[in-house]
Amino acid sequence: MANSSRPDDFDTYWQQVCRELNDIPIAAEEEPLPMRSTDFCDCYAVRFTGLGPYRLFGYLSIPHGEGPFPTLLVGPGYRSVVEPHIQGDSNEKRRRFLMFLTAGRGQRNADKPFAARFPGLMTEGIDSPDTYVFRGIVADWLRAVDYLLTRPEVDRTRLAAIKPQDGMPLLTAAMRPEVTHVVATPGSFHNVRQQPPEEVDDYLRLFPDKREQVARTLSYFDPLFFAPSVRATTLLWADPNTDSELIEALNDQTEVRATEHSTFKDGLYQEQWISRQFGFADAIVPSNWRT
Amino acid sequence: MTRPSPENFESSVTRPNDFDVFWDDLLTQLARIPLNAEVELVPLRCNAEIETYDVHFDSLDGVRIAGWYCLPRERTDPMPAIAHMPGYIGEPSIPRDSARRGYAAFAVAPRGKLRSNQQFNPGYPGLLTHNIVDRNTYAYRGFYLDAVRVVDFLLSREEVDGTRIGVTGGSQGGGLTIATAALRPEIPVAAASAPFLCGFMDSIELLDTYPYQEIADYLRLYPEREEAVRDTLAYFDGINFAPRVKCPINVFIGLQDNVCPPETGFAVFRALGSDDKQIYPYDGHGHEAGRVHHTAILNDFFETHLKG
Repeated sequence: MANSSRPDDFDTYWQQVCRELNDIPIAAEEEPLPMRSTDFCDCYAVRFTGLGPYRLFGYLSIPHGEGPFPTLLVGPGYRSVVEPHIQGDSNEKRRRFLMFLTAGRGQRNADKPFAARFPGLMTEGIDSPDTYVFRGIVADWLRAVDYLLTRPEVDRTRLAAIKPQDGMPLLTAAMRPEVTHVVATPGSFHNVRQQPPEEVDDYLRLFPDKREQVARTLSYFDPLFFAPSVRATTLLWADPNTDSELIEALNDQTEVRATEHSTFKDGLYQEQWISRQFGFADAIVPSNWRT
Repeated sequence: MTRPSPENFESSVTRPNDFDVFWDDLLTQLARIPLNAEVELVPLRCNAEIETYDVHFDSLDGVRIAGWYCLPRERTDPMPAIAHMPGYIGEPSIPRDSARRGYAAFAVAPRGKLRSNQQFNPGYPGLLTHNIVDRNTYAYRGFYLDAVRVVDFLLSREEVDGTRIGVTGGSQGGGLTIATAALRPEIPVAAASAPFLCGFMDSIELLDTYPYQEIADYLRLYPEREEAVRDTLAYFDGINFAPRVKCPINVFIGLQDNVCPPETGFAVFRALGSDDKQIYPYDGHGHEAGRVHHTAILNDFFETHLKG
């Protein structure tokens, strides 16, 4: 795979995405979900429109009481399912945080007319940046922020985009400066020359003549080229040895932390980090994480 | 307050008197259904070492089930096999790593997963509570047998040695591993990590996290159905399958697992009927169950039992 370099029309490409998005009404509908609501929060199924136009989906959980509330956005990830709450997180977190977990195009509840395949999504339309499915998926992250900004319950001083196995929050924060905090990894689109995702590898084995085209497409999604625009305070799960270029490109409000290969240790650290950032003395964690 | 040791936890799960009858009847029904397997090479997912096939077969109620089947290109038939069981929210990944280690490897997508949802699609959330008041139509009735059906597929393959089929998985895959090993005594070895579907009702008391939270959500809305829910789940609880597991089995759990409480991991381990069972509790680890430490142990375990 050719080295990733910043495409000459990188800014134009993403400005065009943002322009197209701005021209499309969000047209949100919220439907109460009594099954997922509790005595401390209300949960809604939200349908809203993204690039395309394409109808998207999200679970919105709003704490009872007087807002605005610190907000956590968990945008589309690389899996078919979006749950009403982050798997493994204490349900009590929904007492404190407004939470929005969204499905991008192709994921369940946002799979008409396009149903993503896993594996398969990673190379959908990859021959060109204009047809690559992640052009839309990045826009779906942006759209989720746009939706949150329509909600009076959202505390605009505390709006975090989090996806600890993904680089998408970095891209989102670069194009939506309203995002105040980020939790991310470099993600699948960084260092593709050293570690091409397995699905991309498969594709290039079958279509070796498309190597240059694919490298060009992926370069539009490399968080390295978004990093200088990220103003949010960031927790980046990364390896300083392999990700140094990205780390240097991010602002000085970035904390870099290496995984301990424990969902408990990493998860606890992250909960404490976000709580601290948002001004809480304690983190709300599952009962068997409390000491 | 100090948390009681999860090792000493006493589960509330009770075994229905007709548990074995219920499942033996279903196995009989399943055996009457022709497999009708279709196996198609997928060039996009093959490489220099591994052939990958897209497989479909019939399961309970005529539901068509998909799976990925990988074979090492260099092999001596008949060869050992490993059946990989999927987690709750993920789609099965292509089991190339096992094929690379010299096994025929199968990863199943039970009903409701993306590649097997044409006839049955309760969604996520949804699967865990679909018809949860009726053991005869509960979602996991067919789902478990789709996992069991993998054994029939592997037994039908000339390249597989039917006496050397292992089963493994993590989280929901761990629960399915225990159910499959229980229902198919010809399985000679099994390994389960962070087993889900074990101690359902205990879990909603011990933790407030998804996916088990789906059951708590359901009962919050329909508290009067608790008894019916408890009755149904007893037929699907790994703790009740465990006494039927007689093969060597390796269980590994994280002591800070925030999805499948370690208490239930210990409970299912104690209930296993095998004389050759080992549990690895990893302190400082969550739902990934110490995989970083355990992978080499797991590989050796299967090597010993399937190639030794």
